[in-house]
Amino acid sequence: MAARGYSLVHNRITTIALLLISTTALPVSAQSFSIIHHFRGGASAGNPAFQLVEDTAGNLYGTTSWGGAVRQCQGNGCGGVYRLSPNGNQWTYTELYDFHAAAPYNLILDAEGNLYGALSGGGTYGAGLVFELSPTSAGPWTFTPLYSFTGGSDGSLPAAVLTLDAEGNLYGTTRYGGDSANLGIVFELSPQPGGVWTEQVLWDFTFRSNAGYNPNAGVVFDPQGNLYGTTDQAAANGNGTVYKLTKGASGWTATLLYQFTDGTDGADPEAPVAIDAAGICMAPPLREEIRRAHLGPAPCMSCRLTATETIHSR
Amino acid sequence: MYELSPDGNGNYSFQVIHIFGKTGQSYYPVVLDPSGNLIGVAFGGSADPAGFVFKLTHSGSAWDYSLLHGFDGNNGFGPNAVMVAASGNLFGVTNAGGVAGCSNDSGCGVVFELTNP
Repeated sequence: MAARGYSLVHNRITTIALLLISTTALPVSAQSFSIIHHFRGGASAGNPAFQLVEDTAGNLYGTTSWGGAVRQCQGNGCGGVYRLSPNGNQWTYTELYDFHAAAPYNLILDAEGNLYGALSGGGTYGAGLVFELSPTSAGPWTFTPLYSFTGGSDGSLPAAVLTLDAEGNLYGTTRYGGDSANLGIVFELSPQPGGVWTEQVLWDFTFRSNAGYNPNAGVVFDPQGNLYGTTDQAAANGNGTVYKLTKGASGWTATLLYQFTDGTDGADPEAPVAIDAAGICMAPPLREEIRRAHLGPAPCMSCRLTATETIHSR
Repeated sequence: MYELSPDGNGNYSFQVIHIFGKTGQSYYPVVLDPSGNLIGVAFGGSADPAGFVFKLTHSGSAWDYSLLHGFDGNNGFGPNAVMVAASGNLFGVTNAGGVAGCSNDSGCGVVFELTNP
């Protein structure tokens, strides 16, 4: 899926002959580039995607969108999770898990070394699920589906990286589903005794709210416990928003922080925001056709991100 | 590339801090390295059509742009977002490329490291 997306993007870029214009671009030679692992196609997983995460031992974890043992997902396999472990001057590659229904978005790590992610598809109802991958002393990692979306009021098709709070609750978004108009939700998943996870819908996107709808990105916390995210669509102009969710006595309320105009400010944000000490920085917005052709929402794993202006291709 | 900053009164100001021309797309987030530089990836353009890694260094009120690495297909095609490891080095993936004769939808791609970014 991802690689076909790149082909489409590449063809598009080639066709319209886009050129980089940057008068201050200077090559920097101080750094060195090296490839620490080749994906070579064939029966193994391939087409690595999204952002890597690093554990305290220096192991890197990532996802692929192609390959794996099960030849589903249009015959190309659904991708998996891999680990690259530092070993002297080498890196040891290990495939940890192959998916059977959909390719995973990028992962997050908890303090115990468990990985969490979402699939935009599959699960009990075919509307996606949130999963956990846990290391075991015996070697193989344990896959545990934490919550399967029904596609109804609890949301449908999670499409972004998750967020973990200090209590071990997971937060995310689904692009569709919800009570109002199938425009997506913000959710919280909480672990319960006995291994069950329960879902709470924090916000149900509607046409009426100026906070936008159809999120493609996850949510992030600020130090005060407010959540921030972006939507792909907005009632006023369809160009997407940045919104803030604030918890009050009667639940969570979304407010609009910024609405894109599809002018020099770009449109259709696809990545989550991140919070720094000075304010909010954003990840790149994408036009919808580019997002579809590419891999979907971009991750946000670091302390501060800044948006890249959308390049209009027509 | 732009930034939203709170003004202290509940409002947010919007500032463009770097403009790519009609270039390859940049659709993955940029990250801050320990020195406060912004590092990101983009895709397309005439010089490095297989994608590139760039850095923006804060210089007063401006941001200076520099190219960290360009991909040519043989060393990867289509970088995704990079991350800054505890060592300060950058790690990232390209979604394709890196293997001769392996088309973009055949499960190729690389994991790369950029030291001293």
